[in-house]
Amino acid sequence: MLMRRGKTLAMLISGFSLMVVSYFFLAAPWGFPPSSVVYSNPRVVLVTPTLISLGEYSFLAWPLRVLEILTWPPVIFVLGVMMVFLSAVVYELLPEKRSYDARLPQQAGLKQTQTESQVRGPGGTS
Amino acid sequence: MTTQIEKLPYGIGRLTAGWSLLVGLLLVFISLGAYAYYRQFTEGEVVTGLRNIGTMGGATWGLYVAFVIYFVGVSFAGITVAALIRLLNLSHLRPVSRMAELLTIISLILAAFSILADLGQPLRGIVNLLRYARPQSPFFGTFTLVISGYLFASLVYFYLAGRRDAALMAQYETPFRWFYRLWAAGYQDTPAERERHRRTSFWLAIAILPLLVTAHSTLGFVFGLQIGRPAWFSALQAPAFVIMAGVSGVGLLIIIAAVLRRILNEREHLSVAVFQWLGRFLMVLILAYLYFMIVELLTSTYTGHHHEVRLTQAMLWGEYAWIYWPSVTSLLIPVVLLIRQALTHQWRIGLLVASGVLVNLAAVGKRYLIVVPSQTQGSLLPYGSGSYVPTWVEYSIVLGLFALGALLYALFMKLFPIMPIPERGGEH
Repeated sequence: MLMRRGKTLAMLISGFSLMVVSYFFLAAPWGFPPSSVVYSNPRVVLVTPTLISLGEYSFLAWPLRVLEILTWPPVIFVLGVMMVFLSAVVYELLPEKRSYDARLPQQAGLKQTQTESQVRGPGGTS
Repeated sequence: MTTQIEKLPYGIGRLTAGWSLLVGLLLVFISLGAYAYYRQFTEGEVVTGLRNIGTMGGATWGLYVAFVIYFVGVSFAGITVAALIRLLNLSHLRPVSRMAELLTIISLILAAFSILADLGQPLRGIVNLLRYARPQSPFFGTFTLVISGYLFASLVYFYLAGRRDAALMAQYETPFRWFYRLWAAGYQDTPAERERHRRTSFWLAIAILPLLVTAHSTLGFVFGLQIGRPAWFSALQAPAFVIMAGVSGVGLLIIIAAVLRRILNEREHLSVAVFQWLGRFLMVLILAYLYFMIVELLTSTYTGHHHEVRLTQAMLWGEYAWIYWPSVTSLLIPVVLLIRQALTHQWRIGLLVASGVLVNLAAVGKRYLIVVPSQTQGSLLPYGSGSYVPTWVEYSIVLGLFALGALLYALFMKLFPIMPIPERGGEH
């Protein structure tokens, strides 16, 4: 099972991969001059409906339906961006190796004492 | 319970008469905005001042788009200041970090609402954008980088930075204890957790700074890449957008910090040194923007195409002069005030707040001047000059958005510490 760092790294790689794939391979192709109509249409819009209709009456009907997401490259890109930033949450929230974190709460200031003395009210009052 | 709530920091949970009155007033403005939007949605954009360019002699982008740029611009300062505090270890500025992050998040939400207000059919716009957006288009960049990347990154940064205070708040017997526990997500302030947060926030700040420069640049490209629209097509649009974003955002942050300093009586943590740093930052940004403005003005008047010259004339002494000159003056007065304070080393918060107000008025004016005149006066086709006058519907919706932003800020302040809770030693 992946540890915290591994999961973070996996999310980062997946996120960046989604961004690259959607931006360069699924959305409208890059080209010059960019104003040309050749570079206007998202590529997979034409491909995926054909594939989906071919598999409509076969056992592949449901798996091919998943391909519909490919017709939404901007959504995939956004998911990639979100995944990259969510990796920070994963890194901070998931516990470290059990042996390492288990001994630390004893040193924690928060657990030992009532925090009222730590929390200063407005105007410097406690 | 009452005694517990009274002990909560920064007035959390204390619903004073002034606060209730403010919320009531804001709700009235929000209702007015909602009613205006209902009218626009059911009757169409004919109830606004927006009309087709050329044939109908109007502008298709008006007040809403001007405020999209304004709100996105305001968001710039919040997360920039928060990231700079982290990267440059500006510990004396920590008290403003959360209010800056919150400013970013709320203004980005308001920017998204402004875009929706501009669309006649919002749902169709959203679906088509998500499905058919083209990577080469700056709209795609604006949507993916500003709305998804920038907003989401700010939310993540905000959430992680607030975990410690949520853990502290969770130790009080309040009705929202569940919320604080949920936010803290098991945070115990161990040395390991602190170190982990230090690393995470550092890398997030590293990632966010280039992201937000790119995001604001793409917003500038929405205008700067339009070759058929005089005064928009300019290489300076993107950097000028970034700089003006900083000007308006830092100005608003100064206002918010000064208001909170007075309301919360936090003269110690929100010291003059905090305002001094913000004032210096604002001064540099205004000077940079003025330089950009002069360069652009010289280029367009000295060697510009006659369409461009005509447009510049309309701004300098024509139809739009009444917005242009007050906007320029609203930038010049603050820069004089700030330079004077920097030279004499005597910083007065009142003057800084006045500078903040003026630069925000200037930002609104400049945004309006970027968006509208190029449509009404800048047609390359042989149409006459057009005009655009916003209607009460547009003003009401914009007012409602401001009220919504203020309400979100006011509600958050009563729920969560608006400033990081100081540690035992008194440091943030």
